[in-house]
Amino acid sequence: MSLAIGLGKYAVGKDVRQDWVIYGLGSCIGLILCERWEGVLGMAHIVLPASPEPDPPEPARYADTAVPFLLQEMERLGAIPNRIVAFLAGGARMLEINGAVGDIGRRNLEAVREELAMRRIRVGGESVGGTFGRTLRWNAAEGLAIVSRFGAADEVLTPVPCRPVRPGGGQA
Amino acid sequence: MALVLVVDDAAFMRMRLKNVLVQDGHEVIEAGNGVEAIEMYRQHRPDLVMMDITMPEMDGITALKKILQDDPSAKIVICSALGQESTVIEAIKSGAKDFIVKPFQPERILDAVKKQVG
Amino acid sequence: MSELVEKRFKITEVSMTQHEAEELPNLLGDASTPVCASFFQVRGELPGFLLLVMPVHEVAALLEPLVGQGEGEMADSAIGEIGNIVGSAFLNHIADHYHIYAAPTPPQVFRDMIGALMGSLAAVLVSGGKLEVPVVRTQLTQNEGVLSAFLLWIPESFSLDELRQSK
Repeated sequence: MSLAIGLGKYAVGKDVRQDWVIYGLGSCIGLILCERWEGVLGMAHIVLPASPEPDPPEPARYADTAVPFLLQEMERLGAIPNRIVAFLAGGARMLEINGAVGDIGRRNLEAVREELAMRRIRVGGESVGGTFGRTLRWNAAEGLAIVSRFGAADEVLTPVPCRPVRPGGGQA
Repeated sequence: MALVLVVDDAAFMRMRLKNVLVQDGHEVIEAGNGVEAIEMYRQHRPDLVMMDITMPEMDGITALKKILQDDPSAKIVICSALGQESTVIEAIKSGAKDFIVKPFQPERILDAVKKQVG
Repeated sequence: MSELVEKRFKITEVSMTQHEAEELPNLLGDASTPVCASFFQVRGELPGFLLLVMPVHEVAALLEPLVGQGEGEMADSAIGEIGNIVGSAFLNHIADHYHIYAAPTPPQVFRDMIGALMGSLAAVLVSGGKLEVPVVRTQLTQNEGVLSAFLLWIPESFSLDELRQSK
């Protein structure tokens, strides 16, 4: 049984055994933060680049609050900040809308990258841009971030499985 | 036998209209939006224009007005799904000879052509 | 052309419900379901969005008699035009009832997971301050009952209560 993470939602956990999935990423960004010492995982379904207020009720919805919020929650579970690798999917340009919105996908991507760079979090793999939808799955058993699309092959974002390295950290 | 300019942004609809018209012995040229329609009209002076309304670049009502400005004798029939009252009235007021609402039967198209070009 | 007329979609159900914009991806079922959709903005006095959505596996049966194949440029053009015809008929009905003007833009055609399309639309709505939206959903079936499609209308300038009162 997988956990589906809807728009503006997130999940954090340690020693996660269940797959976490974000279905149908268009302009939204699916962000995975994988911590490789204690085995803490965070995942957020980001919708927009910037929060209109400093402390929004749904922090995972906005890139500028999602990143610090996920990190804060992961640290609560014992995550070591400089052992965190990020994986990204989404940020596509799906809809051409007349109006002020612009390319939300691109703005989301830029915002997420900026928040990660500010905190020196390395992006280990990404599948972003284009004009098509993606599903981002955290395969818990293998420690892999996998992107699937309609009508094309799966893409593995994790060059090596992201697994905790602390002796006794997490359990295989 | 008439030269008909079919204007619609949907290639599918242009194909359907073309089939109906060609089968009835007419010659068909095509345009994908209002801007192309004006250009094609100037170049070819067709006997009749079948004009969609909802198109990118320039809509059909605007194109109709511009073609008529250039050539007040132009015969333009609107062929559109947008058959609401205010739109039909505007089209006719702007000089459309007829307004055919999609989806249409082939006979409706051929009757309109016959009426306009004999 | 007669096929398009004979296989005219029949409205089998209309519902009006309020939804969180962020729940739109799950509105018609699984967010990962691949669909063919035509998407329109609505201009005029009832601004909002309009979509005709069909499951991908049902589309070939609809399109093959019309264009000879279930995929490709002509097939996508047909999907866009079917959406235009059905969507315009819907808007015409409302426009004439209330003596207003409401027109769709040209279509954008998609073949993709419904979640990607609806999630991207949700982002537009939320960025415009609309966390909740009314959705008028019309289920359409072909005369033979083989194809089921949904026409979704999401008006931006009305709440569900306002819509219900004016009905």
